[in-house]
Amino acid sequence: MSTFTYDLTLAGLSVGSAAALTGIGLIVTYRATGVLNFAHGAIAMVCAYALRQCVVGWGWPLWLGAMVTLLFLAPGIGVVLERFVFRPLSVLGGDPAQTLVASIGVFVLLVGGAALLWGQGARDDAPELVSADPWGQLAVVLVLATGVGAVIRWTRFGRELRAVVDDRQLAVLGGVDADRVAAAGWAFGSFTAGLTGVLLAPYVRLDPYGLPLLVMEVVAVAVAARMRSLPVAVVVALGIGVGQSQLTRLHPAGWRGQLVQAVGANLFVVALLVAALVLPGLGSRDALPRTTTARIAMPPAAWIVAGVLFLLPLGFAGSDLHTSVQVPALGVVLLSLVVVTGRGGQLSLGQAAYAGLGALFTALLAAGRFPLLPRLPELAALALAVLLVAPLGLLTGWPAISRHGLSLALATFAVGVGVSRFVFAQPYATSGLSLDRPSGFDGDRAYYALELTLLAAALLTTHTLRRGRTGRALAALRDHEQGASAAGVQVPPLKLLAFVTGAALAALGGGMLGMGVRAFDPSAYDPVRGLLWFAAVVVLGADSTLGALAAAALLVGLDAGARGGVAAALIGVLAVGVGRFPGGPYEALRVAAGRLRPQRRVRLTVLGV
Amino acid sequence: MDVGTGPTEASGAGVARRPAITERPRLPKPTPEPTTLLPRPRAAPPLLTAHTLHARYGGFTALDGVDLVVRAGQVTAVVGPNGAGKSTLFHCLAGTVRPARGQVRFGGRDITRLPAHARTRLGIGRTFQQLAVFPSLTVAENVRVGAEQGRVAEPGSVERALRLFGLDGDVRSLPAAGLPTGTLRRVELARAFAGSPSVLLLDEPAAGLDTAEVAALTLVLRALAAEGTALLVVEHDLDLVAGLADVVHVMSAGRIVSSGPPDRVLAAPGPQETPV
Repeated sequence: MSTFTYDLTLAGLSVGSAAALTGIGLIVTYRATGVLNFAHGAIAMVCAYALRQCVVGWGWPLWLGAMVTLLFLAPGIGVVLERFVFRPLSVLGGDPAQTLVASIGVFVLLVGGAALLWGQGARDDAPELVSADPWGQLAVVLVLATGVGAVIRWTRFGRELRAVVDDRQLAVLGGVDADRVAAAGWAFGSFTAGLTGVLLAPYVRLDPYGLPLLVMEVVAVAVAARMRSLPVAVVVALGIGVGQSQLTRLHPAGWRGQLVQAVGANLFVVALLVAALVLPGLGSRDALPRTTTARIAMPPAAWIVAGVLFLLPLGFAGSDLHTSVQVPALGVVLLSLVVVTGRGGQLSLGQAAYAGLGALFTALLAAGRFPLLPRLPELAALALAVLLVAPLGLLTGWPAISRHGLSLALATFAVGVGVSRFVFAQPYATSGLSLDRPSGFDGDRAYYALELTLLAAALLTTHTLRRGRTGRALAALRDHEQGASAAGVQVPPLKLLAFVTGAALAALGGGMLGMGVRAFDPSAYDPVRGLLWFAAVVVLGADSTLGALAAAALLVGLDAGARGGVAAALIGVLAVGVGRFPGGPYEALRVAAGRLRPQRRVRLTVLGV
Repeated sequence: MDVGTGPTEASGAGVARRPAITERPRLPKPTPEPTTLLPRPRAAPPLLTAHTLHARYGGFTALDGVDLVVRAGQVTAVVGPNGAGKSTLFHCLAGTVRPARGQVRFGGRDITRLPAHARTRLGIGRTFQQLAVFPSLTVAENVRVGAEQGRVAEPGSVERALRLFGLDGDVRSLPAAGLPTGTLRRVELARAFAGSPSVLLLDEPAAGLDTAEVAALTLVLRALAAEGTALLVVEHDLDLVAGLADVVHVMSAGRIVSSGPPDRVLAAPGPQETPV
């Protein structure tokens, strides 16, 4: 029995040291660049694929392939990212939403690029760099941790790095070459990402979507270490790894067995939930009020054009109509992000979870499988599902009361991942589920008309919320939370209201999506999808309902029309460019058009010239 | 009889001293002013009071037993060098920091544990040292937020506030983003005023203003005080304080070391500012 424990512990140490490596990489990147790099996993994946290409595809010797990948490609990616994506953002002031969106954009671009280059299938012949026993990997982890800790604390470069991360402009005034230091920081962060990918790839499936997400789930380790302490990250990672393998020994019967199995397979997700929700929030670097640009009122003509465009698909037929059915549904989901993030200013990366819950509850209610409730017709099931999911918005709303910026993003991401793993992936909840359209709306055209009505209702709700006293209070909350509180706005109930409404709208949209494809597909609501939706809304104008509708049309249209992944790539490009155009593409066009117009006579107004 | 010797052992506070020969004979003291004939003007009722506030940040004592009274219709100023505890005192009164010991009372009611937005609804408005305006809203909407969320939702308070602070021209429909500092200070004051507060707490209201704007600000604040609002001003600009305040408190190292009318307190050399 003792050898069994020992074997399990060894296996756990293996997993744990891989997780520790990821945690170190994330912490190092965060401390070296100030950005929680959601693309960390994507960089890992790209480097793993590159090494495989060198060794297996082109037949290079392992040491040469590893050197090229780890010493040239990985740091090179980091330097390019710093120069073109993150430097404009940090110079602008490092608004956490925009930085997050930019890193999500990089994630999306790298994943899409890898899928295009190497195909979406998984590979299992990735070359092994360090042998399978955990001691080798553990040694790598410990050497890296101590080396990085020493550099950051005791060298001049480490001090300059901390200065640049803390306040770039101030560091520049102090004589630090911020550009070079930041580039070095990013290069090192990417090097650790590459090392993670190369070490992990032989033991897990190497595919464009799975590996990055796996790496991101391990972000719990970094969060538990408060994004600061390397030893804590290593210990936590090893502990969770060993715990996960020891849990496989338990086999209680019945539903307890399923619970233990679910927890055991996803112990890192449990750790993420605990770290992001229960532990006090990360001390967000001084939530300064965001430099929001004033809202540009959309000309009413834009609404008429939008209305016409949305009525057009009623004249389509066949596969075009079938594809267009998704647009109003996705539009409703994106409207929830407009309410929560655009108007309320609260980062919410878990809206996909609420959409999925809406679809799941609708399916369960319509099939009569929801505990304690009878079978309901589809429309009533949808309405009741919305009412049931709305209070679940408190899961993300409650942490939002005391968290801002990155902490809040992590908490909402944790909820999204948790729901995806513990609800959607569990067969007892989702096996054998089908979702039919309401009777009388079976045909695509009739269902599209129904969706338009529901979309109009959602638009009306959003409009009422954003207008009047509540709308002004939400805008005040977004612009300057302390000032709003001092002006008398009751901040906690208002945040809860925003999140509950967001959850309700997302559930409605999710139910509509599910009925559109006539099935409950868990992969349509996974956390990566949620990240993409968040990026799309922020990029196309976070506080603009028209922007949300345009984003929905863009996401659906591009994915259906061209090769799969084009929509993601376009959003990725726009998200990456959010540093240059913080107001979104509409603002960029306006600025460009303004420059093209002939110069007006110069007048002195209260705003200056 | 002793001549010019020191006090005998029975001397003390209450024992009359036998006058030495060398002392001039003392004239009898004039009788005090008859108080029963003319009623002495009463001091205005205290609206916001702080009682022996103690506050600590970690191991550092920021407030060491501070008592303060803010009366209606008066401008109370708090001055002192940096690190004296002015901001901590301000935050305790405004509700953003909880004191370790002591009480804050508003009209007799204990509000020490009340959060900031609840205090605003009771009638304690505040402004921020680093401007807190809402850049995505227009000037008029900024003031409207204050009116809607404040103590009393009077229909005309927005217009009144805009007029009082000179914001009812073209600037009212401009978004607050990008306006100059002086205008934004007025916007913030108008927003605090639109909630009809009975006490206004101002944190360095003159920061970033030029001389003309400071003079205009003095006039407006005096007008507010004349209407009956109680004002507490934390300031570094001693000229502004001299021209504006009715009562000045000087703070140093967590305590109030001197209080009184500005001409007496500010003229005396003391720890008003950090020594050069």
